[in-house]
Order: sequence, then C-alpha cells, then structure tokens
Amino acid sequence: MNRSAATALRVVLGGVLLGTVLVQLVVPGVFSELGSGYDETADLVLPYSVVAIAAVVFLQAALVAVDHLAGLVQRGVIFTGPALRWVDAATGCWALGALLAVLPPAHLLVVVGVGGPGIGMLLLIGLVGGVALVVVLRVLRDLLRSAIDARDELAGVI
Amino acid sequence: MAIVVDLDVLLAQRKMSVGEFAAAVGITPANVAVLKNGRAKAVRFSTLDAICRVLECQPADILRRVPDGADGTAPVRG
Repeated sequence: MNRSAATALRVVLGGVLLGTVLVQLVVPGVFSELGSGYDETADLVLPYSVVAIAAVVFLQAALVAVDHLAGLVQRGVIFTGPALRWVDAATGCWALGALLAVLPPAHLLVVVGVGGPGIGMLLLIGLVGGVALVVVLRVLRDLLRSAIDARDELAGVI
Repeated sequence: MAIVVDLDVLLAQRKMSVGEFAAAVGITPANVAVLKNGRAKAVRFSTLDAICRVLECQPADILRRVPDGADGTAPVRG
C-alpha cells in the first residue's frame, strides 16, 4: 500500500470514528423516544442505551486497532508478530461489540416479548454482520501469518 | 545442512579477510559466517556468482555435498 493510500485510509478511519461518537450521542435520545411511551419498555431505555453505547465503544476499539495496523503498514513493519496481535485485538473487540449490539434486540424479543419484525431484522443483521466480519478478519489474519512466514524464509536467503 | 561451503582455503589463497570478502561480494560478515558454518538454508545465484567472481573460482570449487548423517547432522525436512 503506498503512502497516500495509507494516509487516505487513516483519514477515512478517523471520519468513521467520529461517526461512531455521533451515534453514541444520539442513541439515548432515540431509544427514549422509541421506548418511553410504553410500560413494557420505559424501564429498558436506560440499560439498552448503556449496552448500545458500550457496543459502540468496542467497535471504536476495533477501529483504533485497525488504524494502528494501517500505521504499521505506513512504517513498513506490518510483517511482524505484534501486527498479528493487533489483528486479534481488532477481531476480539469487533466480536464483543457485535455480541453486545445484538443483546438488546434479542432481550426485547425473547424475554420482554415485544417488538415487531423490525427488531427481528435488526437482530438478524447484527448476528450475520458480526459473524461475517469475524470470519473475514480471521481469513485476513491467516493471510498475514502466511506473508510473515514467507518473508522470514526469504530473509534467510543469502 | 548437506551442502557445505568451503571458503577458508580460497580466502587464504587470495589472502583476503572475511571483512574484505564480504564487502566485495556484497553480503554482511555475519552472512559469511552463516555460509561457513553450514547454517545457510539458501543462497541466491547472484550471490554465488559474486563469490566466484571475487575468489576467481568455479561453484564446484566451493560447494560440496555431504549426504545427511555422514557429517553428524540430522536430515532436514524442508
């Protein structure tokens, strides 16, 4: 990846991070507007908001890890052991964030017993999206591992 | 490693130090040591060409194969 592409990527990542902060700011208001009017969900607005904001925090952690990896690429030290650990960190944070994100809709549908097809679709999208991206990150980690091994072998050539 | 690199005799004949040899060939003295003590796993043909040019010899003069086990080393699967 050339320098300008890596820089552009990090600028985009910064923009996405700002977007997630906006989401965190907006969530309590939206949840309150959606749930305060009904008896069953009035008490759930606060815990759901906390869980949603926490889910976004994990997503932000994953984005920070990805940005760090982009930095490693810029500095030309991406093919090292520590890079693999940052990929693992990004994967773990994403998985935890996705798990937290599907908990409120799952709880709402299964435990509380309210919510229409919209909530069900939100749950499905969260599950599928979470699992899909964890799989993609895992495959990319294997790619990085192969690249590191190949370069280590080549480094041994005199 | 079954391939042995014999540099000492030719280095002595050309009265060249390891440092001079390394600089002339374009590899590090550390890599010269790796070649000499049989720890090298792979050598570029361009490096072999440079070595033979500097020592004014043929590859057969410096490369020798010793079947694994004969010199006490275990076979390497690679």
